[in-house]
Amino acid sequence: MAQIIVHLLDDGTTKIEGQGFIGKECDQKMKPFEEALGLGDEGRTNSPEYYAYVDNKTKVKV
Amino acid sequence: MSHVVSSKVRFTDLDALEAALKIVSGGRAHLLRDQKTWKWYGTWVNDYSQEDAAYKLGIDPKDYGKCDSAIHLDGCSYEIGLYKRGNAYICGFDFWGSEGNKLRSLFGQGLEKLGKEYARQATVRAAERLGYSWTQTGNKIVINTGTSGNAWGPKQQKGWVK
Repeated sequence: MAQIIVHLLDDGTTKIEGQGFIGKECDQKMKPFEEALGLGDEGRTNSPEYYAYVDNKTKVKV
Repeated sequence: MSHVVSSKVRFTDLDALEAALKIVSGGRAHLLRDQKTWKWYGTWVNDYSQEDAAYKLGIDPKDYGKCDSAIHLDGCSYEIGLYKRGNAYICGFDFWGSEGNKLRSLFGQGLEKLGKEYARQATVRAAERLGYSWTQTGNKIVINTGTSGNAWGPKQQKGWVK
């Protein structure tokens, strides 16, 4: 199950992370939340899964 | 005194902001959409220059008192100005004196209480608009977006793709 986790920080800002995504689907799914929270691309770090390739049998090569 | 500050808090969803204001203030604070002025000391006398000074965070002193929308708190003669910057709004307000203190004690020194509730509202609204289920535990909201692995279109799913 892919999930987006939003952390509500005490200084009024947020931290958002994607878990269980493969490749750039993470961008697509997180974009509406980044926009709603007024977050830009700055400060983003991508996990190794972000750079993964996927074939039609969902084989994953990291 | 003209102690105008801004904060790290950003707003993009005004409906979510309106909902957050209602919760944080118990219905005493109101979003005044498209109001072009906000109330403050009224004159910039260049007497505040800390890191949170509004002019250091993207609001020119000549624009103090002007805005794109505003937040009004019942019983307070000062207001918060919202300035459109790209897709988001940033805030400016005068924290000085008893009126400024009313804003800070309710919304937080740097509007962090309002920012936190806004983030909750905006996140939940976005999740529900997209049909995702969500749960909140403490300060963490978990949104279930379904199974991953189908990020690319049918053409791109053949073979290895970048």
